[in-house]
Amino acid sequence: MISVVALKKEFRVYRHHRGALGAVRNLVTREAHVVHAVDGVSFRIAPGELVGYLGPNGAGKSTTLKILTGILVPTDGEVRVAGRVPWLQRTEHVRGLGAVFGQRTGLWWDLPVIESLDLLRHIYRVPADRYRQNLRLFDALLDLGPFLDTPVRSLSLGQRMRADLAAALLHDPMLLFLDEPTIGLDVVAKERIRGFIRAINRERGTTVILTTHDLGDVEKLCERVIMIDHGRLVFDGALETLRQRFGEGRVLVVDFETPPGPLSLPGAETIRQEANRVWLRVAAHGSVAGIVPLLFRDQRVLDLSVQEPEIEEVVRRIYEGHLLADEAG
Amino acid sequence: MAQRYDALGRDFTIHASVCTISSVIYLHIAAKSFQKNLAYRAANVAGILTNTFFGAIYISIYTALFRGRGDVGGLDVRDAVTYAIIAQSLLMVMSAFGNRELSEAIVKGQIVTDLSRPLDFYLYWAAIDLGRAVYFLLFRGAPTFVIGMLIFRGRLPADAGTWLLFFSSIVTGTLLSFTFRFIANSLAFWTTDARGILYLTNTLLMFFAGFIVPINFFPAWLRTLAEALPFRGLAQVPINVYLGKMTGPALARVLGEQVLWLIAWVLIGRWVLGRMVQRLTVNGG
Repeated sequence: MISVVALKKEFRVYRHHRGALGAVRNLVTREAHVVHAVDGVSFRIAPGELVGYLGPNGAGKSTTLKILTGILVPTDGEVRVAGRVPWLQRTEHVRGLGAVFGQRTGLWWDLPVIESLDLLRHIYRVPADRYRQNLRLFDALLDLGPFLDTPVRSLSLGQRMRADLAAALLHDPMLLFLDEPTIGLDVVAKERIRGFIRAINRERGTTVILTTHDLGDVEKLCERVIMIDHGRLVFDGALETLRQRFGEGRVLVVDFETPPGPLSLPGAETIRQEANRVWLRVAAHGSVAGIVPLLFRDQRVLDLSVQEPEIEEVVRRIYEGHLLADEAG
Repeated sequence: MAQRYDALGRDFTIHASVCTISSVIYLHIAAKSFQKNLAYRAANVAGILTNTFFGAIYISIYTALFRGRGDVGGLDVRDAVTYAIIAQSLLMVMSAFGNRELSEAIVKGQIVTDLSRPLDFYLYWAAIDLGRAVYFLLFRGAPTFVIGMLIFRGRLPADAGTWLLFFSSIVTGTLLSFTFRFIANSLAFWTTDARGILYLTNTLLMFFAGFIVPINFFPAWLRTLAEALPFRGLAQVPINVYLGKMTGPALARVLGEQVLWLIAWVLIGRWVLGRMVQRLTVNGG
């Protein structure tokens, strides 16, 4: 469906001098430096995948999406989406594409929702019966009915997002780009949107690329995660692999009958102890099963639980750049 | 046939059938824009009253100005009264106060959504402006004109041919206005606040169109300048056509010049748009 090879996008930023003299200098001299927004990213996405595209602000996510949409022309590299080069065949390309940019609306601000949907039907040349069918389905899944006749400017954020999702999918796109689709929504609204995205992906086989800072979206929706930082690919694989590879290992919480003495266990490190309870960190590649029998050797164990590393923690650590150095070393 | 694309990836190859289908889409867009404007009925009634009121002020000034004079700059007093009525009727059709819709879409990053549609961005905004202009012609211009004519007894055109030429010059004027405002609004992309540029360009547009003072009244040097600029196509040209002051070869030359300006502004507008899209990365979002 999507193939990206060694994608690069550079742009020039001109230095601005401050103050009145600086303004004059800006007119005469143009000191440029090159920013590598996307710097050699490659990946392939198969039809029907639901991929989380993650990275801190300024990592190059939006630039990649704009290139995949055909709005921007890359500096170098190859991109094929359904066999097409997006920026060369932009019109044909976007016909098979749906996009929701969470912070903006694709609907007309002053018109009732239904009027915008009707306009999109004409723009994408959706046959009348298919349009009605889709509208009925989206109404069932997103409960659009109560606000179809309301002007977009009067909608709540959650309603607007639902309307925007419906608008992006009216023409049955094979590919859906979602840029922060749950930003600013409450828990209930988020769940509804996630349920809809999952349904569209599973039932219609729509390929979805999801950009988000809400890791709840990723955990609930994405089996695969592509992560970029400073324009480079940092990780591409299953969410579970990300957790295993970059997590600081699982934590074993053990309740002993009596306070234990200092524990010395191969492959586990005591990170905390409170009375009878001990927190042990199992090395990222270590085995919990190997450690548990050792616990029972000297003492009575009342209870035992394993904590998986929190994905938020994992991602935070990657964003902060701690783990890249480890990987390199 | 080899396909040709420009930097924005627009297909430059012309296919007759594709052109017909897509022009229907732009008509739908224009219709929605028309409908959008229709929502503000109360504001429109207030607008008609305002236009009529300002028309009355101009007319009383001109009546005083013409006392004891038969002719000023080729216009007699009834011509001047008619000028004031039509100028007020055309103000909103020509969007003489400018509109910031496009620059706001640019500043807020809304254009990323618009660019992800299978549409030509320039034609999309042209269609939106067309819908707006038709709305203002029917619901603002026409009532203001009829009320003004009934109260102040302006002149009516000599014949049907004059009406036809008058409407053609309104169409040209509307297109000139759109193509110019597209460029002015696009400059918003390179500034943090578009208002400064838009105040300046709108003042230029209004003054040199002949909306504030008829260009016929300008001193010779200023009149030469105004006639070298395309803005007079928004007011002075249609009104003089209506009054029968611009006919034959002189009119043909003026309309010819305006078509050339129009082509230039479309090309500049599209060029600026291309630059803008290339710079989208910098602002992120």
